[in-house]
Amino acid sequence: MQLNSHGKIPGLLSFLSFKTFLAMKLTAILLTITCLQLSAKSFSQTISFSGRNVPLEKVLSTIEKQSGYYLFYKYNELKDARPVTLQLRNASVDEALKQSFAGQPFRYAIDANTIIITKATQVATSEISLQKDIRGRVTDDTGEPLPGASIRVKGTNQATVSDVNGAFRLGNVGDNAVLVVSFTGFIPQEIQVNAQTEVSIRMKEELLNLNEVVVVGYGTQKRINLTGSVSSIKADDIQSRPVTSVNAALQGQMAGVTIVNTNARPGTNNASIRIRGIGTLNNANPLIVIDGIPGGDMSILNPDDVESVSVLKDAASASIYGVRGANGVVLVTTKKGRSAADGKVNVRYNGYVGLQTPTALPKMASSVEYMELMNEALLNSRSNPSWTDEQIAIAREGSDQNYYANTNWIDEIYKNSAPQHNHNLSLNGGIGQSSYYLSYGYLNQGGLITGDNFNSNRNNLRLRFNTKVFDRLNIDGNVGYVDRNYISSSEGTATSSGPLNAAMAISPLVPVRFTTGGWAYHGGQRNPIAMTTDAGDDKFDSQEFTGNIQATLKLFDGLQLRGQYGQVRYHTRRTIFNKTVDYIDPNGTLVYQNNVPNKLEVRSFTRNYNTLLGMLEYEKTLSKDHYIKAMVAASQEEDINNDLNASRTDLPVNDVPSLNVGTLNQLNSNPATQWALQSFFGRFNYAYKEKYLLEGNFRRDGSSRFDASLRWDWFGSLSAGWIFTEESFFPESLKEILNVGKVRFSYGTQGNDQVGGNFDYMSIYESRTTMPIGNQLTSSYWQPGVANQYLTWESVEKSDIGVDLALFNSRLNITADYYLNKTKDILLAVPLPDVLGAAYPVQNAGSVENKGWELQAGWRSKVRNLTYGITANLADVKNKVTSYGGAPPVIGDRLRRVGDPIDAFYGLVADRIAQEADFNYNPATGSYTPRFPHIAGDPISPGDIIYKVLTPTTDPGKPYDITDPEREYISLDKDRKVIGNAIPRYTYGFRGDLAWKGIDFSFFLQGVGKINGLLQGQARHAFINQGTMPQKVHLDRWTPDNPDASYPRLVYNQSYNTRLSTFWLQDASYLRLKNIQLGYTLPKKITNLLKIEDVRIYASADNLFTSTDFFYGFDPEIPVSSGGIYPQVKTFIFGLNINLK
Amino acid sequence: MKIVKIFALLAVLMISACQKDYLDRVPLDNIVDETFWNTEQDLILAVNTCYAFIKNKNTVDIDRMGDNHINSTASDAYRVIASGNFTYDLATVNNQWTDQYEGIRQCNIFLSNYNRAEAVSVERREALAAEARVVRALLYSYLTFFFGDVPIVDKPLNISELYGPRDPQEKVVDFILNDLDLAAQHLPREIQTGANLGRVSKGAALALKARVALYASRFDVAEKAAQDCMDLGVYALYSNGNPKTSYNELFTWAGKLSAGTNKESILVRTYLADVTMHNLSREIQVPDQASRFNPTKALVDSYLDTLGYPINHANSVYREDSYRDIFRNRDPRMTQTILTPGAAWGGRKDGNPANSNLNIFTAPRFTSGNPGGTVTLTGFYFTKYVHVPTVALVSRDANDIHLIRYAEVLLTLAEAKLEQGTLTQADVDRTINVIRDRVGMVHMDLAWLEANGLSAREEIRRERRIELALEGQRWFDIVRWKQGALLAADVKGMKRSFATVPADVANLRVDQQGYILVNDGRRFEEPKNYLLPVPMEQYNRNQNLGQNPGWVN
Repeated sequence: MQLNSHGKIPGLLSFLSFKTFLAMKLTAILLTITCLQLSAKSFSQTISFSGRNVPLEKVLSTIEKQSGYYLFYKYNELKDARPVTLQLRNASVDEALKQSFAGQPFRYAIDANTIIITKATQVATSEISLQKDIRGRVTDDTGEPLPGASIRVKGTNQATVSDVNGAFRLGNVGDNAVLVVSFTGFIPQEIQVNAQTEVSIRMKEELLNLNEVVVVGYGTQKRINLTGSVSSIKADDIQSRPVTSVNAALQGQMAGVTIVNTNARPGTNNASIRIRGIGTLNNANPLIVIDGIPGGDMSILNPDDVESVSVLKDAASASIYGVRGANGVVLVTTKKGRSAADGKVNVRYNGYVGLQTPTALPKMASSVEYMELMNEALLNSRSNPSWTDEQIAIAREGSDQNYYANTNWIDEIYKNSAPQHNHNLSLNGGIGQSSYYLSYGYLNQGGLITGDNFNSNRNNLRLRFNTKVFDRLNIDGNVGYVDRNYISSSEGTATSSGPLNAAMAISPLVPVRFTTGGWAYHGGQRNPIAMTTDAGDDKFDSQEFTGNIQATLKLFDGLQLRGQYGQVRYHTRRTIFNKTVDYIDPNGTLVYQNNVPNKLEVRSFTRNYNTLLGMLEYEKTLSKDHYIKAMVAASQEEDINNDLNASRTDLPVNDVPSLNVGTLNQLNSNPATQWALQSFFGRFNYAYKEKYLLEGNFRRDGSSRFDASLRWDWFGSLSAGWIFTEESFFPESLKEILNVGKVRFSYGTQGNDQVGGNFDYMSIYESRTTMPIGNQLTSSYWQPGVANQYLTWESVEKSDIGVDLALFNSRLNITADYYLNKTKDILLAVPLPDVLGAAYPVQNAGSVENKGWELQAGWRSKVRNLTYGITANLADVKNKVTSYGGAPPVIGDRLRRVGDPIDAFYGLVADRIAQEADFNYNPATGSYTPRFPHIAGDPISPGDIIYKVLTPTTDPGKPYDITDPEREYISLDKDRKVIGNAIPRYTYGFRGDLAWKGIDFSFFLQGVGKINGLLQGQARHAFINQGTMPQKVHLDRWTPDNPDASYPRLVYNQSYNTRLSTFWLQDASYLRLKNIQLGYTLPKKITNLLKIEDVRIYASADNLFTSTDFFYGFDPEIPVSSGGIYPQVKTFIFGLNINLK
Repeated sequence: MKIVKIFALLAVLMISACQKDYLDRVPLDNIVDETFWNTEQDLILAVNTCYAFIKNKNTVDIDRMGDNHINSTASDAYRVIASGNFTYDLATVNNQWTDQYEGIRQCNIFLSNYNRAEAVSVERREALAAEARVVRALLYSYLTFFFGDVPIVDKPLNISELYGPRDPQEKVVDFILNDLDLAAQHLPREIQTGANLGRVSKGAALALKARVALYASRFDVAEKAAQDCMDLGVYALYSNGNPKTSYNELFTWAGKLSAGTNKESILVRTYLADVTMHNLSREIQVPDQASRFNPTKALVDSYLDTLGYPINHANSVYREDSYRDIFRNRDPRMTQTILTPGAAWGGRKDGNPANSNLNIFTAPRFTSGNPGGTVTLTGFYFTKYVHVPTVALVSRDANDIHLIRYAEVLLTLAEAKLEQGTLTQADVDRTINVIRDRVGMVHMDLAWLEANGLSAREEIRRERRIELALEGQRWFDIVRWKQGALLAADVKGMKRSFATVPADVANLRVDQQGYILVNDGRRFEEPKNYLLPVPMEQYNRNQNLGQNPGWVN
């Protein structure tokens, strides 16, 4: 076994680089058990080997393998070794070693079954005074034993390893000897023996994270050597939170990575990810790469299988993904097996059970309030009231529960809580050169909606297998399989339809059921409870397979060849059964039906994504100071979708969801599409004296989405880093405080072709049904769009300057970045004058600029038994459209105009609510004439909103004169401006954790410092159309008796007061206790007795507390909506982790 | 050796990565332009697209812009337009603009490409092109009579050609008439039947030409086109032999083109049960809500009495002492248009608590509640266009929507001659009196009108209003007759005192005569409200369009 200079085991490098506490322990146990087991094994003690100019390292590994002896040496030191020429046939270990080390600048010694190799210069002075045995125990800070720590007598070959209790024994140690104790993840210690025969060694954890290895595009990189901006998190940051997707787990964890959880509905909670703002007017989703394969779906990955997530934020890190990476890249690496010498399996269980409850729900007005407000609103709209006094009296008395009920539909449609549980079981092990990881995860989420619909199940299976064959070829196979389903009401949960919307649109006078038992219906709105219960369902089930096989062939020193094939394939089926719902009134009459005739629709989707990659990599350190790494590669990808839809109506029964049962209207369709991409790319890294770092990337991409003549383009980046703390001029005294300091700079370009359709450059005819001709279903061909054959790449120019600092023994780590991203030639469907008569074609129009900064800081330390850590991140981004390709701006509530943020809120500036004194009243006609500028055409009266004039006349000081046409009206053209925007600013996360003996506690705060929200439609308003029911807050509407109202006067079916203005824009900033968690790990004494490695129990809550000024009934994480959205949830769970060996 | 094999594998891999045609992908579910426009079948499929843009049930909805009826939904855009209380950002205004241009593009695509199908005979090609021209002309007619001046687009535009100014209405009308003349040359004279049932024929081009010319006050052109259409000799008013039901039946499923006996409808948006349906019958008599089409007092009052007198005429036999009285002694079209007590309906429980027959209407209903029945704002309901069996179900109505009927052509001829000062009694007899004969209404007699102090122009306009109620013409007529004041008037209903249950109407507002005041605060500004505004989106994207008189941007 080899130890490199950091005490890492090279073969397991990628795993151990993540110094999770658990992992360290496991490694230690692996080592210990390995050592203990050695004596029991018999190996052939003879060595056969022959070769010319073979690297010493290779000879030694052969000896290790054939003899069963263990080798200890510093990996780096062997670089000075000379090649060896050997001819051994059944030689003894000793002889083999003797020949190998002849003339080498090394010495070796054999101690028990271990061969220890040291530099010849380090040979101890032979000043041996008194020799004695020494015993000791190695523990961590908390006193827990550290098995597997290496204890070496300084300057000698003498060494040993601590056992399972952390104990060790060394013979023949002199009084003046110094013991060097080292252990992965801990600061090495030197102990003066003196007269002691028993030593107790407490190791301090090494907190330096700059040496960790980070996954980057098509490879890995030590964090210290990074010149790009890469954020990463590890399994520990994800596990044991009740997150259902990796997307959700990333929220608030990394500066500049904004996650918005737009939909909490079970099975579809696919949070959106934005890296460094919105760099495009199109698809702003980052590229997701899972185990090297782009195109997977991170949201359905089992979070428990994730080893690490890296986010590539700047051009230096992401330009290697060329066309795919303009919005940033998220690299997900799944867990890998770890082989144990004894072949023992590590079995791990992680599971929880819990409950979800909604975070915020609106409160609706009661029946009587509804009737009174409605009459008031009708009179205000100069129409007749709808409810007679008698009818209101009946509602007040509650004497007619069929037609004058008082139903709280929000209470009815939502359940108080829904269950959620999750179980993960993994096997992890291997032997020799092979290892495997096998896991199964099950997630079940119950729905919060009344009825049996709205729940989801997910089964994740993953198998990863690694092996090395012929000493040169590494094979890494990885297969993921997801079988998942979710169900919802046949109406879905779209914001504009569906039961959640319906619950806010139905009158409180309607009971859920008539007293006679039938579903209640008063007309107009379908009964949402009837719909979620009896109207059928929308079942989604999907089988998703991802396969990935990678072979790495070591050609010769430093050069390797890598090939990778990946496939993502899914088959998804959606079965939508719209069942007929009957409404039978108290007289037994069928008064109404929904979904007539009943209809069954089956949609089947298949996707087949394939990618091939070939890569040549070279890594070498030349004359000590020059480190070189280079890579060239070619890849291709294709994505083919093929769907089949069919439907039939008039199924005679409501319980057999099969097309065969339906009789009429047999319709079908077969949408399909495809795209492909070819790429050639490469990277070059150079480091001088581990101080000056340089990296270059290039990529040439060809996309099937463009015309052949415009298909190919070049992208590239250049970046540099300087570790100034390594300079000789940097004072040692200062270095004790500032341990590592690095500045880095990057610049590069990237492209984006993921916009619009796959064939926007071609003239296409699509079939559609038209007016029936000849009294039959008639089809036609039409041209839905306008082809643009000049389409080409959208390109992004990204610059980044960053600093990485490690202070106070690396307890404090700080990373700061400032960046400027300029997107050019944005592929955009610019809204055009509609004389065009077609969907707006995609054009290369416009530029967007994102300017921002990010700060990430972490502090980790220990006070006696208490370990604690704090990490915080804060980021800001300013977004601006810098060019619009000469096209006129898109004016609307969401503005797209040069100089303003994308989709900024563009509206009127509200002054106040108008009072009666602001009008001239004509008692004869009952009409009010405003004495202030207003919008011509609005029937404005007291209680309506007064807006400000933004573009004054030539004489702004002139008092308002109704006869002056320039002053009479508020202009929708000239008196609107940018009043806010919904791009989150000052996004932050703050995480704290404490561990004391077996107890651990953590909390995680997350929030947005500045953002505007806008609730529209039924979420915010009352009576603006038939389906906007009043909420309790609308009782505070303007009336002559309530001039200081929070809501304007109610005007039935009129929405002019709801025009976008500052009156309705809201502060949607929030601070949220995203997660709080308390855990307890059972003491080793107990778990050892049970032969269990680890047992931890924990309780955790998500979204427990939120501080916000956002409108009361809705969640600020969805700042812009019209309601009807499945609510965000609080989750409370109780969980258990068990590790078995 | 194994290493060599792996090398070979990788080499293959790299070579395959360099496949030249790997990126040459084609659509998997569409046709590309290069392979289309060859056969007659291609042409038919392409021209069929134009029919998708013929105005559908919206034809009836836009009738609400006039004064014939009012929607219970106050937010309904057409009610809002009628009230004059709206601004140029009203979405529906923009939709009318974009919907027509969307169809125009598809017609233009056909008209720019059809000659590529050289294998198809020239006559056949031109006949199909004529269909596209008629549809294009129809779409332009809506555009120009909604918005006045509009850009003429006669080919599929590319994105650099979109920023021109509007063309004057005169030019647009010329363009439309020219298209229709061309179309009339190539279309078949007979009504299309069988597999082509619903396609336009020559009569459609002529009838549309007559309408457009009339709207544009080109009365000579209108007269000629109407006369040409009549001379085809293929159209006749729909009748089942019974004057009491013929008119009403035309607007039910029995009057559908596919029912085989309708020779009256010249341009039709056809519907087909289960395939393409609308919701009109239900919206008119929705049994558990308020009707979306409440006939106004203004419409109800415009029906003549049985002698041909307006009801406010001194000689009129009309008396209004009860709800039932309103329907007595009136033009027979009234009871075939406005729901009359005793008629079958789909509105279930009416306003008379004593009526237990849910299928027969006896009294208007003003309150919602137990059990459900259609609520009216005005006291009136329509029966025209209601196919009772589909009232109970949402969007299951397959009534054809009649865009141009032969009766309109007759009315156009009469009006065009009147306006030219050439109307004779013989003209009245071959037009208006043919229409009146269908329902058994007394003939219009020009001398009698004059003797009774009645204006022939007013009576011909009344005839048009009565005959074409609910058919989408009313706003255009009011606008071209410059009668904007009608739209500024308060909307009223029946006398409140006629309600069966006084408590149900106790809090309804009434005017000084005791008629229900349904909606007031309406405005009509001249000349502003004679045109719709250029929609805000369009103005913002192309300020060369300018704005119509009186509108504030």
